[in-house]
Amino acid sequence: MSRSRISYINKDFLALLITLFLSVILLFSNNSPQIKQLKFQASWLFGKIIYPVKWYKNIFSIKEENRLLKNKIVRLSLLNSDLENYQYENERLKKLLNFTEYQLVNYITANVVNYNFGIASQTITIDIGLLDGLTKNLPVLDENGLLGKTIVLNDHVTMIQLITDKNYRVSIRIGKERALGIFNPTHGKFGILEGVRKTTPLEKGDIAYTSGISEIYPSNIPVAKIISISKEKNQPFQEVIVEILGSISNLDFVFIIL
Amino acid sequence: MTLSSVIQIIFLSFIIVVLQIFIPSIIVKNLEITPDLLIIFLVYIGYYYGRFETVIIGFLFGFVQDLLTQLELIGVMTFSKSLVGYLLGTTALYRNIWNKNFRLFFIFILFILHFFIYYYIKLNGINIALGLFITIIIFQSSLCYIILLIIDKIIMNNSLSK
Repeated sequence: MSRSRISYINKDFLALLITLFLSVILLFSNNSPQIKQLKFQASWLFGKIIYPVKWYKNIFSIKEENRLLKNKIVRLSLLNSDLENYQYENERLKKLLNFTEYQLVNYITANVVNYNFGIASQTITIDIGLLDGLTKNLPVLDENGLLGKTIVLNDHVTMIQLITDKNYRVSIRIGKERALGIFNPTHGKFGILEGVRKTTPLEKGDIAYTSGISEIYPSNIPVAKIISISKEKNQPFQEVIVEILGSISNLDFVFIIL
Repeated sequence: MTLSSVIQIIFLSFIIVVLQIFIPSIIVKNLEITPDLLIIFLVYIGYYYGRFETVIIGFLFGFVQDLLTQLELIGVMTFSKSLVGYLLGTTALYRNIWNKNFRLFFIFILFILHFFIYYYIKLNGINIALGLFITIIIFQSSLCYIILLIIDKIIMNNSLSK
């Protein structure tokens, strides 16, 4: 410190500061109730005085903290969506594992690479083809039931005609009597069973299975579930409305029975 | 400050400290009030020698007073007398500027400040009515002020009120 700077400091004021400082040290060295109370009041006052400074500093730290938390939220959201996907995939795979345990038929698994849910035709495309041993008119299903059949193939991809396609028909058996009928898709996931006699006892919830009277489909593949039954007097057959069992809207992978 | 002045102050200080020890107390509402001769002496130190000397002597007076009267609250008088000593030194700076009435008023205000600091700390945490607290301070300050005026008139030859 330069000489001029030292002389600038008021020696009276410096003496006051030193004596007050020493006094405060003496005062706060006591442990009497009054001094304890005084210490408490002094700390409260100090807190109030430096509050604006702390508040000002906090603004910056809160800004920084906010930025970090936002980053964390984004990271956690991504992680969460990953985990949700894993959970869904895990559930699907568990179902598939259960499904494959009861299937004695020979099949290939394929990934769905494209969808076409048009009005006239409803198809999907899978990532295996002729080189993988597929041929035309092979039944395609998922863990819940029948999905369709192969219709167009090349070496690496195959187009599947979905069960919801307007031109799709499949022979089924239903009820305790295993009565024959034809599944005919109508709209969305729904369809009707044609040719089921009035005398056939049916109940809501009965499952229609492939009949096996076909060159394409083996028997006993679940197709659809009855959701309503009506019998008209002047009609020889029952009007049976069914819901398709296969998960049409959420296809990731399918099985092709060889 | 010359050496003779220092010796004179030390000698007077000794006498005043002894007087302070033996001066009788007055009881006001169960509270013992003792006239503070040291603060009166400090007024004259401030008036004749200025801030620096008054701060140092005030600190020493306070320290001695704490040691002799209230060891459990040591530092109270040291703090109060150092601060008031600094302010009393202002009277030396404005000796020829302030008139006697303002000077005496200023000294009285400083007495109030001194006793306010002292009693605030001494009665801290004790449930006492504000009115009584103010009464004690005013009473103590007035007592010292009256003693100051008497000393100034009789012994100091109206040096403060010239």
